[in-house]
Amino acid sequence: MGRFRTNRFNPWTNLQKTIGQKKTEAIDGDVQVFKSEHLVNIPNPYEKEKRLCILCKMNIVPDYKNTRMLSQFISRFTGRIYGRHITGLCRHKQDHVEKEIKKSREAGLMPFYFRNPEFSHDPKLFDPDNPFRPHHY
Amino acid sequence: MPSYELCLLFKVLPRPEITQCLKRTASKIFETGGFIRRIDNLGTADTPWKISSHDAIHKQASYFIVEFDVPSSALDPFNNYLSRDIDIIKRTIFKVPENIPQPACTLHEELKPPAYRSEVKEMIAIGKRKREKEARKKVQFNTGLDYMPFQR
Repeated sequence: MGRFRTNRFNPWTNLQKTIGQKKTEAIDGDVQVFKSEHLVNIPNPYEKEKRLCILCKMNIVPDYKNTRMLSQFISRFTGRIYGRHITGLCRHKQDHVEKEIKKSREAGLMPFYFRNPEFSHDPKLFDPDNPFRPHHY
Repeated sequence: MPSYELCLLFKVLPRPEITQCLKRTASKIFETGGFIRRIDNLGTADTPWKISSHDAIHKQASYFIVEFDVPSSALDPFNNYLSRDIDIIKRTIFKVPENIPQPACTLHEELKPPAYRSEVKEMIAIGKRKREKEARKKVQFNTGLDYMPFQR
């Protein structure tokens, strides 16, 4: 009757402890023996979920014609492009966004020194005061 | 023939005149042996700054995007032609990027603490190599003495 067995497999038990116990239990014979492989070869249960940046998650390719989207990555007051530590984009997407913003400005679609007031109240993708990684200043 | 994208800012003109302007640019593309993929009208809007061109200041413009293919040698004369068109306020030609597959997101890797980031590991390795190189340059006398016998 496996259900009533006293020493059942518990994945949360201390590995060292179970190995130590095994020697004494071997005398009983009836008890199931656990190899250390069972405990070692499981995937890390504490591994964090893989994070994706918002553009990768939504599968968006930045384009210079899409000024509304690009405007979300510049300051409303100074028109400066926010850094990677604030926007929370991956390296490639951040570079791409910066390139497209510059192209857009060159083409006369987007202002240099402010955000288009039409887009002032667009939803915020990030908070410049609480960056993903600390400011360097 | 590589494909290009032309962002055109026309003066705010009545519809028939705008079509005339577009026809002019289109026929110029066909003359050079190219072809047009599509023309988009982005509408009339305020320009982000006062743009002065051909002795006039413009605060509004009609935006058009023309996607076209021309031989790359014909691009410079074409741009020159557009610069002399008085109805065009501003024009910019971009090359259309080819369909490059987007690389996988590396945000997870970048948010790790510095010691676990591959780029930081690389930097440490460079520093280590540099220090080793400098150590090799330093002269070792191998006298087995803990003082310098030849120094005065």
